[in-house]
This record gives sequence, structure tokens and C-alpha cells, in this order.
Amino acid sequence: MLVDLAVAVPLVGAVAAVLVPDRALDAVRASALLAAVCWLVLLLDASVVSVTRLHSAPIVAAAGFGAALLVAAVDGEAVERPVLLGVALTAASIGVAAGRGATDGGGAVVALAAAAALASAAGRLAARVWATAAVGLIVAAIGVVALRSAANAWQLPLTDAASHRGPGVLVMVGAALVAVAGCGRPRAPLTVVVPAGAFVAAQAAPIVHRTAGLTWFAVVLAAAATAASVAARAGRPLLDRPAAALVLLGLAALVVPGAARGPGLLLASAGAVALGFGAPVAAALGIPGGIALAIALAAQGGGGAFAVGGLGALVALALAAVVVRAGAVPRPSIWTVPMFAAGVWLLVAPGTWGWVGPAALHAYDVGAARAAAGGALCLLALVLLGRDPAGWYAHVLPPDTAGEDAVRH
Amino acid sequence: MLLEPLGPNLRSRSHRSLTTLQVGALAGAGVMALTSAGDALLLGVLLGVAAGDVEAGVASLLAGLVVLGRFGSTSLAALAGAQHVVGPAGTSGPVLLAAASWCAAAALTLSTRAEFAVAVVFGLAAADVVAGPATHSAESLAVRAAASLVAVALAWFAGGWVPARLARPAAVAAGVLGVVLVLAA
Repeated sequence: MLVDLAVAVPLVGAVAAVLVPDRALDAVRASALLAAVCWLVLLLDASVVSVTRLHSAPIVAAAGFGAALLVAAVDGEAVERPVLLGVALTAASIGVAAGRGATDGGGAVVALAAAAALASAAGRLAARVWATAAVGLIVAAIGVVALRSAANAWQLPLTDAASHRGPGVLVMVGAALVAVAGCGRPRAPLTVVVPAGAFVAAQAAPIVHRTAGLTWFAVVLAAAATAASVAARAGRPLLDRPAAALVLLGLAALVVPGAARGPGLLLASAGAVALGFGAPVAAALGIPGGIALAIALAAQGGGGAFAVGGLGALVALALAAVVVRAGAVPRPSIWTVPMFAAGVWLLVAPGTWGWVGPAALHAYDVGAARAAAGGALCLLALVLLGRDPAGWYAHVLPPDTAGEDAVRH
Repeated sequence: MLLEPLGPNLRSRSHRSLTTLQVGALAGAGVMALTSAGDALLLGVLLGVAAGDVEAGVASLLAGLVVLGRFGSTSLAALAGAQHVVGPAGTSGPVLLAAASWCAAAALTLSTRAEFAVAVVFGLAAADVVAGPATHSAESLAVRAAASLVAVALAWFAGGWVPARLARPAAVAAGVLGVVLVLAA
């Protein structure tokens, strides 16, 4: 019931947008929030639910939740046809939920293509953005068809993933291109395909990873993440750098040797949530995933893990430099509050994101909770005492007398 | 007419206000360092935010990576437990690993700022890394207290009197050296 509701509610929002054109975008946003609530309930329930040709598992609900929140947080100035945005969310929801008990690769790619086309029509997009998405969809479709030919199954991931690594790589590359295209501009209609694209890549990742990982592919994805973190032309970023870099680094973690699926999903989630903010400081959402990835890579060891770790460090350095140089964060819209709450949840208690699997973040959770409590208490105490949080000696030591420097010189 | 000279005679320990975010990060890092609870890499991130400087953040994260490489875990509680069993990291184990711990402590000490509160937290973190946060007996408590006092004093000195243009690269270099030593061990 909840699965059907989560998929259908955005469609109802689109119908309401047609009936009330003055408040069309608000109707779509409200329906997206309602869909997000449905997905959240399914995510917290953490059980596999199957209804006709749709299903929900924790990772499915997480992707649906992210897509719905991104639509709710969309920038009003970036949307020309809100009705199409609501339908695009329905298509994206069908894409992540397609299949009976397991993801239907063909259905997911077709629904993803529909979502991308509808979202592109809902807002103004640069040619390079929709061209990237189109290329990605074609590559992913080729991969899914090749998988179907080789294994006689549309299912993702395949239960028998012994010898289908090539098609799996194609699916991942295509899904990554779609996700990167969605990262072209934060809080834009096409962001709805980012969680869905990352979801398809994550479902195809076990076919590529098998038991030992695929080092060269992980290094290529990590290098792409590094390039995305510095991508700019004439001083202007070519895309939302934190989101694109985090999503690509997350996909690299999914196929790197070792047990880094949990960190990879955390990083990809951080990238999707960062798209709802649109500020460089959103790169901080990648901290828990980055720490978990460092732990996993250190446990694995080897050249491949070292290379991916080094590229991940470059991504972190580039994003931190952007944050330091960035100006003040603009006042966020009220519609971004749910996304903000999801971001705080990810940053403070990533260990509770059980759907990502093992991530070795117990110590992080303990530390983040204590740090948050300590920081809040300190700020509260300073506010209550009415003191400026500065060094005591700055108030105790008298300032130099006027003209002192001139006298000395 | 009074003119400002080209090389102004400003005191090194000139006051710069901390932002609200920096104060919160500093308090959080202080709680983690004092209670030896949490994650060493998260502690590094918080110290970087508190310092408001990318190089300081890099050096602090490198110190966290040294902890990860030496003990196989970023948990400060695990760090405390390990040092409770085998002794302070700076004086026990293979020479290369002990030297790596000293390098990590140096990276943290040189990353601090001039403000006393900032120096205290960086000094506590450095003491945690090199001398062990365990306080299960009077002897270990004395070791930790002494190490913390020395580290805080060094951090305050470095923050106030070593120019940032020298201290920051030195901190990063110390962190990199620590990681290299861990990898070499």
C-alpha cells in the first residue's frame, strides 16, 4: 500500500498542479514531501515489500526518499513546468521500485530515461547536461540488454554474477553519467535522477565487484571524482562540485577491493543530499562516508586501495579549499528544511543508516554525539553569559598605545 | 604625519575572533579529546574547522591517519585501550611506529592558533596521540596530565610565536612523515 502511495502521490500532485496553476509548484512540492514520508516509513520498516510489479527494499526506499526530497527542495526559478516535474518524480519512483522482489534492470533504465526526459522538459537545461544524460542512458541500456542476453535475466544484481563483469561495468558507467548530469545544477529539476542513477549503479556494483573488486575501474571513478571536485571554466564551476565528486567517489568505493559498500552508499547519499543545498559547505556531508572509506581501505591495504585513498584525499582537499573560499551561505528556502534534517541525521548519526550495511562508524557516532552536545552546551553557555567567545588575554591585555609602531620605527 | 611602516610591528599573538562554528567545533573536539571517546579522523576534522585553515585540517587528518595505521582503528577508545595494554604510543613498540606517533603529535601541536582555548584542545589531542589517554591508575593519570600540560604549553607557544607561514607547512610535513613512517613500519 505504501509503495503504491509513494509512487502515486507525485502524480496526484501533478494533477493538482494542473487544476491550480497559480500554486502548481507548491502542489508538486507538497506531494513530493508526502511521498518522502511514505518512503521514510518503508525505509525505517526495513522490510522487503512487493506489490504487483513494484517492490520496496531498504535501498529502494532510500533512493525514493532522496528523489522525493530533492523535488521538494527544488528552486522555483529553475522550474518552468511543475506538472512535468511531478510526473518525473513518479517515473523516478517507478524506476527504483521496478521489479518483483528484486530490481528489474530493464524497467529501471526505461523509467530512468522517462524521468530524465520529463525533468529536462520541466526546466531549462544546457545541451551538455541533457547530452550527458542521454549518453549515459544509452550506455546503461546497452549494459542491461547485454546482461539479459548473457544471463537471461533482467534482475539487478544477478544472483549468479560469475562472468558478467563487462555488462555490469557498462551499467555502472551509464548510471554514473546520468547521476553526473543530474549534478549539473543544484536544486534543479534534473536532480531527481541522481538518487535513481546512483541506485542503478549500486545495484549493478556487485556484478562488477564480485569478491575481489575491480581496481582499475575504481581508480577511474575516483579520478573522475577528483576531476569533478575541481571542474570549472573561467572561474565558474561546471557543475555542483561537492555533489558530483561525492557521488562518483561513492561509486568508486562500491567496486574498490575490500568491503567498502557501506562507505560507498554513504558517500553517494551525501552527494544526493548535497544537491538539495547547493552550497559548497554541503561537502561536509561526505565526512562520515569518507572516514568509513578510509577505515575500509586501510583494512584492505594494497596498491588499489592506496590509489583510491589518495584520490579520495585529493577530493577532500579540493572541496575543503572551495568551502574556505566560499562566501556566506545564502538563506535557504523553507522547502529545504526536510533535506537539511536528513543532512544533519547523516552527519551526526550515520551509524543509524542501517540500510547501507556495515560501515564501522560506531566510534564516529559516539564522538559526533558528544561533540554535538559539547558544542551546543558551550555555545549556549556563552550566549547565556553574554560573553564574546574569544581569548581572555584579548580582553585583559591593553591595546598598544596609538602611534607606538611609528615611535619604534 | 604618522605612516604605517612596510613591516608593521604587530604582535604575533594578535587576537582574531572565532566564529560561532569554530567555537562549536572547538568545544566538540575538546570533549572528544578529554573523554577519549569518538573517532580520531572526526577529531581531526573538528580541529581543522576550529583552526579555520585547510592546512591545519590536513595536518590534523594526517595525525588521525597515523593513529589508524598504527592501531588499525580510528576509535579513540580503542587507542586508549591499546595504550593501556602496551604503554604510551610514543615510548613503546617499534621505533618507526613510536616516531610516527611523535610526528602526529607534532603535526597537531603546530596546527594550532594563538588563542589559548584553541591551543588547549590541540594540546590535549596531541597528548592523546603520543602519551595515551588511559587514566586507570595514578601513574597513568600522572603521565597523561604531564603530557597534556607539556603539549598544551608547546601548542600555545607554537600558536603565538611561530609564524603561521612556517608552522602550517611544518605541521603538514610532520603529518606526512608520520604516515610514511607508519607505511614503512
